[in-house]
Amino acid sequence: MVMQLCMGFVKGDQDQAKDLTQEVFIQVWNNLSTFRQDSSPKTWIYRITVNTCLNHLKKQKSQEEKLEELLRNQETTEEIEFTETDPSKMLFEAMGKLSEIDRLVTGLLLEEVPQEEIATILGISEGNLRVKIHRIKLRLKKLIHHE
Amino acid sequence: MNELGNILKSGWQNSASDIPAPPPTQQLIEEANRLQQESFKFQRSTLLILSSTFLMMCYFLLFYFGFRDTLSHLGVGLMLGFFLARILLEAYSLAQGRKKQTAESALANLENEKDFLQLRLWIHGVGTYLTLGAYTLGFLLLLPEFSKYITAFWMAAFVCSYFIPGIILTLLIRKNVQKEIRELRRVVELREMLLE
Repeated sequence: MVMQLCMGFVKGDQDQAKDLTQEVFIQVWNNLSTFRQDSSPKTWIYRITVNTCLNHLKKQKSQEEKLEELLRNQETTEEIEFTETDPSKMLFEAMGKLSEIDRLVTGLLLEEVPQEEIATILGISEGNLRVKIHRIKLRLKKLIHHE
Repeated sequence: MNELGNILKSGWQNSASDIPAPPPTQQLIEEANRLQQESFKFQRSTLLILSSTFLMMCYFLLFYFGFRDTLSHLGVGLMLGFFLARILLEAYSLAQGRKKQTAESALANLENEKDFLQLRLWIHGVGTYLTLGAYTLGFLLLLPEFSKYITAFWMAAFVCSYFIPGIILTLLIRKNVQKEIRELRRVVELREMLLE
């Protein structure tokens, strides 16, 4: 579950996802003493995963990546051809065109985490999350062109 | 929309099959402990270096030189006082850094990151420049008494030997501050993105 969420976040880059996953487990181990029973261990681990991904972004963002992002944002209307042979590649390509937060929301939704829990993980209201999900769905629909 | 959902889910499930097995738990625990130890060691060594420098300064400024003028005493007070304040600020910042938890909600985590980066930025920016300024002023206040005992040539050399590393240090601080400003901007950007 952790590795897959990280994969979605880093647009399918397995090496980066592996590093992030390792970082998540290290954080889990270091924070074990702070785990309270007010959420399930799964939700708690998802929370650490989301925070590790966001913190990683803070360190990693170079000028080059910012330029890439700028270019990517200008091409958001570009459709992605869906090929039955590699649906995961298509999915990560589409996720790569979403913002970092939207990528995490999409990953959690695909992991079938209930919306109430996703809102808790992110620290936002359920109403705010529903608006986000609606926007993400519209964006993905536009991005993924399927017959 | 359901069709799209099925496509996304099949892509997600498909990607799960490509995921390699995670490293053994024992290996991860060892890595976690190693990284934690390394981080503590780094923090301890930073404080150790600063404290040793402070003790050396105390020795030279209070005992070795034995200043007599009031102006020099004021200079020594400024130099030592601000240096000590800088060490205490660094220790406070390290303690705040240790308090940070990654197990909170993403919004709380970003808020904490923002507060922490603002603190670091203040310490590395305003705090450090203030220390450097006070330290320089303190140094300048020592010069009249020094000039009674050493020649003009050695006085010039003495002043240069203070200002050249000072300029290099200021440039390094500036670079560090710029890096932290970038990180802070990114955290604020993510926080806004999360709330919009």
